[in-house]
Parts: sequence; C-alpha cells; structure tokens
Amino acid sequence: MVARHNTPRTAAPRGPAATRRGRADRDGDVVMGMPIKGRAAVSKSTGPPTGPRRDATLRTPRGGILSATAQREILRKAGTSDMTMKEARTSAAKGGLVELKVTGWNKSKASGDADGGVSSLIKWLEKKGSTKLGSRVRSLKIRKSRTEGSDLLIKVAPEDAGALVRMNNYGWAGINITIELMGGPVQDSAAPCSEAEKTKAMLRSVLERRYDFETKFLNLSGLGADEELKKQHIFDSKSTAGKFFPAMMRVLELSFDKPEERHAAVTSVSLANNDLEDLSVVSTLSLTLPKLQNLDLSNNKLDKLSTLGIWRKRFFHLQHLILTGNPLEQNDPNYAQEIVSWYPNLRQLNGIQVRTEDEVAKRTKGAELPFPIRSALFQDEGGIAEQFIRTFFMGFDSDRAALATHYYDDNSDFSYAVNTQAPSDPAGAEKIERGEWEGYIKNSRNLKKITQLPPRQNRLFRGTKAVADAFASLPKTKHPDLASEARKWMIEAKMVPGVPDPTGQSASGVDGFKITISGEFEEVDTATGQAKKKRSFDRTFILGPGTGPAVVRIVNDILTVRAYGGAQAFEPDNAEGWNMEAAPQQQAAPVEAAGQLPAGISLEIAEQMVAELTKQTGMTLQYSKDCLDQVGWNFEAGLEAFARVKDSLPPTAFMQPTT
Amino acid sequence: MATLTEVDYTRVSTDAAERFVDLYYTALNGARNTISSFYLPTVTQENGRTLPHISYNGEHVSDAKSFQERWEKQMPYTHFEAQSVNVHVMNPCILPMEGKSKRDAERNMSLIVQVSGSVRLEERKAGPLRGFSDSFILVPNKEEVGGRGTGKQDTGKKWLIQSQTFRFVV
Repeated sequence: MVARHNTPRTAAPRGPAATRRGRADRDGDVVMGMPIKGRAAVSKSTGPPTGPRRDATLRTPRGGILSATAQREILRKAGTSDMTMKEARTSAAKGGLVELKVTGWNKSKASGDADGGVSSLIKWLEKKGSTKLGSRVRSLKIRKSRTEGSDLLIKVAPEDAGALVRMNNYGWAGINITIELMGGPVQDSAAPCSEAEKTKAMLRSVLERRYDFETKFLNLSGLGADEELKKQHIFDSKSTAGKFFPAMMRVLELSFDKPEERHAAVTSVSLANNDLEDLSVVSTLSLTLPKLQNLDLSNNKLDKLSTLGIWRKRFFHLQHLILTGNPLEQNDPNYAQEIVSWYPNLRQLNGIQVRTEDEVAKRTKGAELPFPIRSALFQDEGGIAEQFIRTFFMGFDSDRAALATHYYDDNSDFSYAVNTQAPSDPAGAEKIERGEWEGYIKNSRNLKKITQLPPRQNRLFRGTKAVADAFASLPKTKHPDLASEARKWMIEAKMVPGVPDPTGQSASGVDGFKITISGEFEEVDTATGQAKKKRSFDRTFILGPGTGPAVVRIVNDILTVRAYGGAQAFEPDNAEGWNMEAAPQQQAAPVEAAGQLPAGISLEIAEQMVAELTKQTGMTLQYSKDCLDQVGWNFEAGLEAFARVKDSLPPTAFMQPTT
Repeated sequence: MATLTEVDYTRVSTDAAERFVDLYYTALNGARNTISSFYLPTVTQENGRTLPHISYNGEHVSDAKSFQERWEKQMPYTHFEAQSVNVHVMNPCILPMEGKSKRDAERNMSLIVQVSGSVRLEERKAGPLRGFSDSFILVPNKEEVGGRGTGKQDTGKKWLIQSQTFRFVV
C-alpha cells in the first residue's frame, strides 16, 4: 500500500489514527491483490483516497494476474500519458523498425533546397513528433530515410510510429503532407527466438502485470509465489534466483527511453513478502530507481540495521518507508531513529509521520544557506543585453561564421575550457562515456590542466578569423528555445565599467555589459541533423560598444563546457517574498506579452507558430509574433504577409546579419 | 615606454588567475574573516552605481563587509573545488601609460576569470554536492582604481574583485 502515501500532507496525522494506519500498512501488498500468504486477497484500503484521483485498488481486478484487457488498458494509458511505459517492443534487442511513407512534400516551399527539402522535412517531423502539448516527451528519431520518386520512406522505432501517423495531413512549409504506415515491423519482426529474448519477454510481462499506471506503483512483493516465475523455475537454483532481479531491473530500464521517464513512471515499489534476509539480491533497485519516493520492505527477514546498510546513502528522495514485519523491529528498538537520519526526505516510517513538510523543506539543500537561490539578476539597459542574447544563440546554432563577423572584431578574445569533473545531473539523465570529451580537449584552456605558457597562449583565439575557426572546430549545437524553454537557462547581466573603448577616446574605458549564462545544448550530428549528446555550459561575455554592424561588440567570450547538469539548480528556492528584479527569461516569451490570442490558439501553439515562423523566415521572434498577431494567428497568412513585405523590412527584423 | 607582448599578457593574466582562485576559495572554506579583503573597497561611480558588484545566487550584495559577515555567521561547512579555471585580459590598459615601466604595465590591466567547480556543503564527504559557476572581473590593487595598494612590503592582495557573478548550476 505504499503508493497511497504519495501525498503525505494529507496522510498520517500524529496520534492514534496514525498508529491504526501503521497497522493497516502491515500488508504491503494490497494494491496488486497477489495471492500472497493468503492475506492479500482482501483489500484493506482503510484510508480514504488521498486525492481526487480514484484509488486504483477499487478498480484493479483481484486475485492475481491482471486480465489481458487490463494490461492493454495500462499500455494504452501509458501510451497517451506524458510519461510512457513503452508500447511493448516486438523485438527489443534488434529494434525492429516501422516504415512510414510521406507524400505530398515535394511541392513545398522548401522544394528549392538542394535536397528538395528532405532534410528540413525530416528535422521537422522529428521535432513535431517529439512534441506533445508543447512539451517534449521523448525525442523521436528517424532512423533511416530514403526517397522513391515523390515518396519519402522513413523508418522509426515502433513506439514512435503512432506520433507520426497522428501528424498525417499536418501543414509543412505551405502544403499538407500525407503520412501513412507501411505495415508492421519490417525487419526482425519474428517472435522472440533466443532464450534470452524469451526471458526478456517474460520479465517484461511480469513487470507490466505488476505495474499500476494510476498510482505509479510497481508491486514486486511475493515474487516467490508468482505463478509465472514459478513456471520458469527461477527460484529453484541459487544462481538463477540471484540473476533474476538484476535482469528484471535491466528490462525495466529498457522499457523507457530516458531515465527521467522511468523515474516519473515508477515512484513506489513494494518488495514485501520476499523472504529477504539482506538486500544483496535486490540492491540494483537503487540504481534503476534512485528517485523512488515510497518503498515497502515489510514482512521480510531483515534482522538488523546492517542488513539495510547498502541502501544507506541511496534513495535520497525517499518519503515513505515500510519495514514492519521484520525481525529488526524487535532486535533493535532504536532502528527507527537511525533510519530517519539516513533519509533526509523521509516523512513517514511504517505509516507514522516522522517529519513534517516544513521540517523537510528546512533541511533541503541550500535552504539554510545565507544565499538562497533567487531568480536571475538581469540588469539590462535599453534591451541591449537581451537582444544580444537572442541573436547570439540563434546564430551560434545556425551560422557561426556569420556570427563571428557580426559580433567579434580584431581585438575580440574567445576561448573555452572543459570541466571534465563537473558534477552531473542529479537525475542522472545522461551517461558519461569513454572518450566523452575528445572533440573538445584539443583546444581546452582549463588552466588547471594546461600549465605551460605556449599552449595557454595558443588556445586563446583573437580576432574574427581565429574565433570563426575555433567555432568551426566545436561540434554543431542546438540550444533550447529562449522563449518556450526559458527554465533551462540562467541568464544574468550587469553594467560594468572599464571596458575598452574601441574609439580610443576614453583611455580608462567605457561602460559595457558582463553577461553570464548557464544552460545546456545538444550536440547535433552534422550528417543527419540528429541530436546526439546533451551537455551543460557556462559562458561569460564582456560586451562593449560596437563599431561595426552590430550595436555591441564582444570583447571577451569565455565558455566552459561540462557534463549535463540539469536545470533544477536554476529554480528559485522560494518565489514568495523576494523582490524580483527584471528577469527576462521569465518574461522572454514574446507571446505571453500578447495577451490576446484567438480562441483555439493556446499559448503553446502560439509559441510554436512564432518559433516556426522565425525559423522559416529568419525574422526575430518579436517580428514573427507581431506578424502573426496582425494576421489573426493564421500561420499560412503569416507566411504570405511576410512574403509581401519582406523587402521593406528593416535589417533589425531579422535574426541574422545579412552578410 | 614599455609595451607588453601577447605572451606577457597571457603570463600575467594566467598567473594572477591561478593564484587568485587558490587563495579565494581557500578563504571561503577556512579563512572567512579574510573574505572582504579580496574585494575592492566600496566606491560609488559617477553614474551612481557602486562597486564592487557581487551577484550571489541572484542576490545583489553591494559591500564586501556584509558579504563576509554572512559567510562568518551563517554559512555552514563548505568545501569548494575549482575544477576549471580560465582567464582573459578584459582591458589591457586601464590608465594612460606614458613612460611607465614594464612592471607597471603588468599591473595596468583588468582580468575576467571564469571558474567552474563543485562545492560540498554542510558536511565533509556526506554533505550535498553542488556544481557552481563563478566569474570575476579583477583589477589591480592600486589606489587609482579604488584599492588601498599592496602596502610597502607588497604584502596585500595584488588583484581585487570588482565584479562577481556566482551561481549554483547543478
């Protein structure tokens, strides 16, 4: 019953009621209704449902294995939810692909491109297919593509096919395209053949049967009594029993594209009634689901605290732990105190409240620091810094050579350093690989590693040409959209004195800007246009007054690249009570300022339209937004309007300098 | 009149950055009563803005004394590790340099330093580990730029923080 304690604010008050709840919780296996030791068949959902969502126990069929219909139901829901348990792969190992045919695209406005618009179409299909309700839920990849006359044949993983089929008749580059499924998996579609494949399929079916989508609960209680596992004689020999759990965890990992989807999909696990004497067999749970919130270990044979030792310093996010029904309770009367000290976010132990939300909040990282996390300190003047940032990153992703001539001059310095030791995303979204930094190390100017003067000198790039060459040596990038993905950015700016005066009139320098930006980017494969690696960066610019085409020039540009670190650190601790100074990334979305969108056009759609128009026309976001505003948010009309007036638009209407 | 070569600028700036970073984070970890000595004494510019400008996790702290006080009185255990350090010369010549020596020229520039690293908070080894990004504009410690100078024995800090932007980034 761990799952129902998901919302501890309402659950488990102190006092006798809490004790009663604690006893009710002794049965850690109510939800699944697995036939375990004859007790679990009766639902003991004594507490009221904790939220508006209906309690899953009321609807889950009793008596063991879910019916086939229920399984399909779970899969169907998983497929439509933000967080997906993958639609079962027909052949997970070889990744059988599904072929789709795209037609109608060759008459588009992009047909003038060198490849007839194929590459931009593929890029658009991937982007659009990855987007649902404005948020990227998974990154859809087109694995293979070829053209046959007017047909574009693409191959994608089976779980991506649905999203693409739904895009049939969508408008792209001025025309509507047709997308049809060419039939099921086209290769390796045969039923699992090898023993390993069969085992995988079996484990997957066990997991799916024991997973409840509504409560995000994975019930692994009473595995020894599981009929399907018994049939496989898994627990008959010690060696298979030991391998079984890690294998199941591996299959669970394979079921999700990304770790964060897995963490979001499974927040509660029960390992009750498994005769566990220690945690060695199940230890991999903490690696597969490190962000678990609720864990039930009741009715095992854990006899002292040390048997839990390997999960100390694991499960940082654990909110509720159940240990009732273990010998430990009698053997070590003070175990509760110890356990509470292990898990800083624990609110309940055995259904009894051990910390209030306030107490947890006070303990959380940084909350006690005298420098709480606030929103960005962005002290702009006349929108100069903001305009620079918008233009810069658009240019860095699309045309670095033009960017170098636009913002850098003969006295501009650029260098970058790689921090290979940086802490990575606490959510563990990206894996570190061998040779991870190969493409960067050659010119990295990390003074901690580069100790000799000549390489320090050589790795400083001065002047437009040197900067452009250095840029060209870096992997192609894609930064998140500044408007629609503002939370992935931390952008701060302030005026600083003493910046060199390019006119030489003021010997002691003039006022300029210091801009510091932390964020992330994806490395893009130049051949396929596919994103392949996510990284984080910190970048410091010194801007001075410009003498060339731009209002400003870059005096200094220092970049640090490091392992992907997520964006959690940018979230303010407590938005209330702080006097926020101008924070452009919160206001950045030009659409939000519009205020009046026609019915049927949501903010997300509007933002996508603005981004798309900017992409297709090269206009700034602001101009794109104004343009769409004028034509009543009709995208096609916006493109037509642009075509009519584009020759009369000022240069400032465009993201890129026209060089 | 002495002019510096590009290699001179690189030598001076990288030496200064390394030394500064070592001393500064050591002070944050264990010599907090010296923190304010790393900063320019507070001055008000003609435009009304004050220096040094410290931006710490989004908060503008305008004088080094109160910054130090918070570190001394409220900050739990910290262990900063600078994992990556880089520096550029921001302004190679902040004051007219007619007829000055090379040694003077080496102390007539401003620097921009970027640091990326990790910090262990609250508790040695077991405390939460965060990633940080820190960037500084350093100016020579001279009376002309508002500093008090390095003293007769040249014992004071050679470079002072005029501007800083610190953020937890992981």
